[in-house]
Amino acid sequence: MRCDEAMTEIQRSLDGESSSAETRRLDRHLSACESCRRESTALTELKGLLTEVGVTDRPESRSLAPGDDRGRLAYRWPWWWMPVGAAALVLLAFAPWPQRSHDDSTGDLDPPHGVDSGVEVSATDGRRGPPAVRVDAPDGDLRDAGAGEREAGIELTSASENWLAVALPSESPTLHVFWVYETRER
Amino acid sequence: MEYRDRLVSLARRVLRNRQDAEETVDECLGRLARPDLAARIENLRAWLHQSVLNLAIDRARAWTREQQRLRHRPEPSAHGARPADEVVRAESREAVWRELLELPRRQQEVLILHEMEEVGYDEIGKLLGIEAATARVHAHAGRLELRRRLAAWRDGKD
Repeated sequence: MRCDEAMTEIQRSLDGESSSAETRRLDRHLSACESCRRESTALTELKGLLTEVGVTDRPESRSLAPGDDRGRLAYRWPWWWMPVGAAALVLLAFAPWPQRSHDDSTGDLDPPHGVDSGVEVSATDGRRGPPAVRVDAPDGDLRDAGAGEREAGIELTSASENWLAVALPSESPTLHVFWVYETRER
Repeated sequence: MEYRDRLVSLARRVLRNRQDAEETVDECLGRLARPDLAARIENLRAWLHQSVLNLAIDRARAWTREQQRLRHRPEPSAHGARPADEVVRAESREAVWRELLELPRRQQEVLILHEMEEVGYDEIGKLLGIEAATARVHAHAGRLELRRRLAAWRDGKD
């Protein structure tokens, strides 16, 4: 194996794409070639450092207290995080969407209510909702989101694994307008 | 996992700060509300990943450059109780982050997705709209360039 082949093989090995035969050939070369061995060690170290960068929070600009092992604490959650987090998720799943505040006190509007099933997707291309996303008004009426609503601004709301809902602001406390995007790959 | 969480996770790899990551993702998601932009997006998934990556890289780089301008190095050596090899490791880690943020954009994107998010080259190709083989080439070139920069940083430090 030549050195340039070894360099390619080192990279393939870092990608986990080497066969065992290729690995044996590379090992034979590395045991005989100090320069490639150095490269292999350096690239392997680099891969480890890149992984670490991705799972450690950056050091803040303030100085840290002695002994504060911040870099390694980035993903150390307290023991109660999992059960409490799971409980919160369950609660959220059954909670109604937050209602926007409004000044209307005339009383002729429906009381605030949950609209968690208030989105119907009718995207013509099967991929993205707007402008064909329809709005499920509380009285069961369906209508398209108006251009004015689309341009007025948005409020981001929840999304599932495959859907991303972007809520548009609505003056009405009973009408919630969403754009729904499908994020699943086709 | 909500899709937003997935994007926040990606942004957090780059920014290494949860709040910054969330703000970055929400800014990208907010752009979806512009009808003119939304209508032009061909591949939403790719658009989201690229937007989040680009904005996160820009912000992370601005942060590291500002730190360097202020000549502030978040020195792990401030931790008196830390063993010397851990200090060296932490310094190397910060150097890798800084240098990663200075690589050509494609190399950054591919390395972040492949080395930090553990996304395969086929999937990276789809996310970035390039061939898987091209993604692999960018990753390999990026590693070599990063290795060169890390060596140069170590030489300058000694």
